[in-house]
Amino acid sequence: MFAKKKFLVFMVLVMALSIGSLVQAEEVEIPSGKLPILVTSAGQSPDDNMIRVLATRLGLEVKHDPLITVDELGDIKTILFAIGGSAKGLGEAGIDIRDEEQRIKEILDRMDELKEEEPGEYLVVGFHIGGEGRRGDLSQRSIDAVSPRVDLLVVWEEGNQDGLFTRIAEENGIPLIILEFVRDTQNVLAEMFAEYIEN
Amino acid sequence: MAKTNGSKNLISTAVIIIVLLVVVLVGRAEFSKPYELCKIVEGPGVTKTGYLSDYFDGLKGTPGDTKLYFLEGEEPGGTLLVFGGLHPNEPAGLLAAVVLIENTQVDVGRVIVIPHTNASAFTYTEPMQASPPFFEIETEWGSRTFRYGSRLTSPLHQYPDPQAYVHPSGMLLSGGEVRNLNRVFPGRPDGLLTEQIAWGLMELIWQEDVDMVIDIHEARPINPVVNCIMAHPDIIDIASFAIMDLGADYGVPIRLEPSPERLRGITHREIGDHSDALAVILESPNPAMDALRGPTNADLVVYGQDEFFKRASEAGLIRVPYFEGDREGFPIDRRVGRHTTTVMVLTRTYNEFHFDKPIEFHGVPTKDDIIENGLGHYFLRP
Ligand SMILES: [Zn+2]
Repeated sequence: MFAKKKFLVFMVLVMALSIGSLVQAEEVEIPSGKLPILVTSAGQSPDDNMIRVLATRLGLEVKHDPLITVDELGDIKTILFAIGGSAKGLGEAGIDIRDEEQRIKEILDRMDELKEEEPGEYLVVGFHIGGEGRRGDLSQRSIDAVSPRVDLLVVWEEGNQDGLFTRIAEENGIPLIILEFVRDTQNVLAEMFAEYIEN
Repeated sequence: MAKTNGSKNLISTAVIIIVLLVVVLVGRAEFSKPYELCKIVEGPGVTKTGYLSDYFDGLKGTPGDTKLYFLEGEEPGGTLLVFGGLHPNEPAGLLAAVVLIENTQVDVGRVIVIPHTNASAFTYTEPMQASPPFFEIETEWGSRTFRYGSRLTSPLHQYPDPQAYVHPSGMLLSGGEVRNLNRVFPGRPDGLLTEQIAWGLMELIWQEDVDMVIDIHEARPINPVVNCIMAHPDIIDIASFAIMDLGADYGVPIRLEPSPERLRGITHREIGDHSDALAVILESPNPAMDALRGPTNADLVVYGQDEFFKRASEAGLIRVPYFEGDREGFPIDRRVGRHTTTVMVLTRTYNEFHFDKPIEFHGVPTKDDIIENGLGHYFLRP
């Protein structure tokens, strides 16, 4: 009887795990973020604008600076990175991808320090919402710079057709949310900042 | 004897003259054929037409003048201006403009559509590109013929090119770009023909107090800037929302591209900077203008199927999907539908931000409508 119950629990666990991996999008618990929020870019594609407008639509106040440096972070608690390289964007900013990688690294290093000092206070999220157009060599450098070091990855499925983000998430133990539509980013933000959104 | 010889000479001279005349007349007719642009029907929503030279008379009587179609609502509101055929080798722009002219019914505000924005560049095909001069779209009552033109103003209308082109901002470009209407904005009233066309379009925007400009283009599938909206910073919020709605509600997955600040002369950048209008460029993939293509003919323009793009797509070399569901290639109906849907959604999103000057219309087919009923269904009989 007891053995049977154990087996049942085991089976339920196995089933839960396998179902969990199939529908991981629904199963991932979205961490809550604290204010103030920063929206920045990793790779200088304009996708950070999408995150900014959705956050604004939810009534959230965000600081938006695609080129912010570590010294300008101030009291930021949550960073939303829009991941994706754009040669045009980098050119306009007058930087190359190595400068961008360095800027990102310094920000992430600082956030790691802060997280250690005050656990639970800080959150870093990586969004890849540009689909196929934000893949390729240049984007890969931004993806590699940010994705393995975030607390949550949010990815539009068009950009994950080869399972790149699934692999990164698995290898680094990062929760991953796959979106069918870019607009669903809004639902993620709504849950992440639920305590600050007035209904 | 001498007399017969004389009349014989007279007859052969007459025959030679007649033959020469026929050759000259037929040749001339054949040569000037390209100047005839495709016929466009004034749809039920068209309230008046005009010419660009009405706004800048420097264009009067030149090959740069072009026809404007006004679709006005009963209620006053904002004004949307649509450019098709600014680059006539990007045919989805022309066709989307024609679909708008022949189908749109404006309820509030106005829509102004220019199908042949660079009329001169419609008069020839680019040398060495083997582009078809014409292509046909099947309709329920027969086929409708359209011109496939060139990227640049005709060298017959603007010649010679300088060694280098100095844009009014001081930016230096290669000489040929002085015939590229998408490099010379805002133009110069006393400049070369292409610059005068740009100036005429700016005058139209200023004089008609245009609120939003949508400039419809196509790009090489291998170009990273394809399948996208390129937005001036002033319209980036509207474009962002529109893109998300297009993906979620209309199955049109496109992305946002930055507007280059340093590359001057591009329509949306200069229009946004030099007027109150919000301006975007739309880009869809056109395989007929890409060096990767195989045989270049009207079928490639219309059906967009090409073995080389298929292989490039499989190898991950292009960023636009070659298949959409089980539909292969980059067929023009899909490209036109993508543009008409984008015009619709951008306008709807614009209204959310600018409720004081709304633009409302109906009758514009979406991509799904066009795929279901065929593109030809939305062309009226000339
Ligand atoms: Zn173009």
